[in-house]
Amino acid sequence: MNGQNSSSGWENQLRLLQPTQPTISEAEAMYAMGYAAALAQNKAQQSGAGHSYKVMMAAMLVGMLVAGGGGFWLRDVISSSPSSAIAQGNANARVASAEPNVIAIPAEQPDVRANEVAEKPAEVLPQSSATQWLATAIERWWYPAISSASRRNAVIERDPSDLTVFIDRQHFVHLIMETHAGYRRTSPVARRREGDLKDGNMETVPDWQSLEESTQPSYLTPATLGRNSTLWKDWIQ
Amino acid sequence: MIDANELASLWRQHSARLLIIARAWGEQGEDGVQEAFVALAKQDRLPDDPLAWLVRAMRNQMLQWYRAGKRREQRHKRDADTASWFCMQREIEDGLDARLVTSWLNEMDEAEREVIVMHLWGQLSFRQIAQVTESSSATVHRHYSRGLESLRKRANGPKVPQ
Repeated sequence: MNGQNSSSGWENQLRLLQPTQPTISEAEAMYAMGYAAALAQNKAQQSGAGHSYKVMMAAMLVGMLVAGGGGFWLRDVISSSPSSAIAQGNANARVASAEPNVIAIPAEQPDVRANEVAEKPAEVLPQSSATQWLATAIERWWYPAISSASRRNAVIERDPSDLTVFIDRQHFVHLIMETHAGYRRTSPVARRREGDLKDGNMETVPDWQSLEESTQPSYLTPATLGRNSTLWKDWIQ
Repeated sequence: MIDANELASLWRQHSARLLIIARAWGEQGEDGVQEAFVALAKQDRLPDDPLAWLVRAMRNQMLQWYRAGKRREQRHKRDADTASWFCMQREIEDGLDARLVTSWLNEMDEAEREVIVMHLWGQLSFRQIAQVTESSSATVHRHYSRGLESLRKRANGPKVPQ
């Protein structure tokens, strides 16, 4: 091999090798980081809420990433915030937690019971830098990731021995969407007409109400997450 | 709180470097990289030297896993054992075989491998490495020179059968 007789030549030859990239994508990493940051800030803001906090980043990411055998895990701690919207989600989650431990959504027979208990839209969520941050991360990175993740299995697990309150994905996403200043400002239909609704763009933030009525659901909404949702079917194919 | 764009930029810039450094420590690297970035996201402000901060956070986390006796799943371990640490670069004429270099690195002395990987591919200075490993710059430099020599000997020795 050339250059092996001089130390610097050998060094340079080694340097030419490029380390491989992590298999986790930027989108997924950003989602995890945003989620972690939001949890950390919420935890710091709370006092004596009585909840334990387990940020299951690895499990969640592996679940999102591993095709075929994976699932999606969501344990939400925003639920113990004093906001009325969050309290609503919390109550819904408690109702849901009276059910058996695990809600699995197999590929053949989608079951979205968890999503059906939290359909009431959130009204208020305190604006904080963490939730704002997370909203940004989700809009910019996670939504495109979802659209490209249509072949992943979806598994929602709830562990009653863990004090972490479960909130389903739909409600969680809704809470996040509520925090964004641009949310509800303009309907996606109007924006689509203007031709500025592009994947990965900030302007892809959907209007919740409009999407509920939409015949072509693009994102996670109560309507699209229903038992016979085509979105779920697409997602778990 | 650190800006999302800033974190995204750091991920693009450093994640591959961190991954190879994590691999040099013998555990499944991706978990370590994720943990380091998640820890960074929780910081109120960006550290002065984000790369060194991330390496330290990752090292501490991996040491913690090691001490707790937690091992990665066998499947992951197997993947880590067989996967090349480098991209295959067929376009570089007379370039080193990525898998071969990976196997040489795996066979090296741990302290030398750590320094070699952090300096050559992690692009950390000897001073930064000394801070991370809590040793002196002279020790780091010594490990580096020995490691480089050790790699060269392996390269000049008999080839591993394909």
